[in-house]
Amino acid sequence: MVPYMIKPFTILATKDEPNFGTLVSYTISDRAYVDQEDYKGIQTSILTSGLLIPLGEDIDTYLLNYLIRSEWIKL
Amino acid sequence: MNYLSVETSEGLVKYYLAGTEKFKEITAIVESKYNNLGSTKWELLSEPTYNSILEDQVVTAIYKSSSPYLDHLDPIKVSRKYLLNKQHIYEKVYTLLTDIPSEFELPENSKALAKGYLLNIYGQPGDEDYSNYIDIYFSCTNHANVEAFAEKKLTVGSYSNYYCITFNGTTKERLKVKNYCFDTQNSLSNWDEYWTAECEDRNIDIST
Repeated sequence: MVPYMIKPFTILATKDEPNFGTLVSYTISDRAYVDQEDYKGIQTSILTSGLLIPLGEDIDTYLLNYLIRSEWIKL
Repeated sequence: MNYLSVETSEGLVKYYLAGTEKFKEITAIVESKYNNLGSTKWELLSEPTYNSILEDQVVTAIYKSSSPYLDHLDPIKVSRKYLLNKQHIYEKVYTLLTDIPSEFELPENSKALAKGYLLNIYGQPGDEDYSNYIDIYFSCTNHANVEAFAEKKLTVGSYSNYYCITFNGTTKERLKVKNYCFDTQNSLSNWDEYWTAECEDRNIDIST
């Protein structure tokens, strides 16, 4: 990641887990316009969770790919 | 009228509202180049057009709402630039202006409305830094003043006209003039009202 990039997620904390990797606590938000029967307007969804990053993996890259696969990050 | 016309040095570009046939056609073009697109969030989509700064055919998607990771920049609008050949993506942030920035020269009788600049978002393909290109969006009570600046005739919208000048942020050199012309009143044609609403949302006193 180059220095001038903005990350679409925030890492809240990391904890080394010997022999397993790094436990990462992170948060990501998404905002969308919804048009439903009971609500029409902007809706913000927030995910705060944890993920074990395997030994040897880059934390940002692994978490990014995980969030893309889980469709929290779209192009 | 379900489109917005923008006259640039590269030609006339039309932007189409979500739900129109043209919007769906252009979405299909972008989808043919990228996977995992969030196209349901787009409000307005430009035709593919050559962009001399990004040096590619570009589709601009203007979002219905901005992503939370940009909140610290206080955007009034956000768009994404899809570079169709390079398959890169850059985010564009538009922020409110209440004074003409002293470092950039605008035509006489102009009122600065917004500033736009490109950002790199981690995870979006493409890592060129375009943040030195600054767009200043403005209105002007004298169309001829803008034409003199652009050194060419610009189309006159019979309802309203708004403008943008792209500057090099370092040299302050003018690189491009864009002319947003509207022949009829529609949801896109009243930038001054939109600007006033954004100022009021932020409790900015615009009475003077």
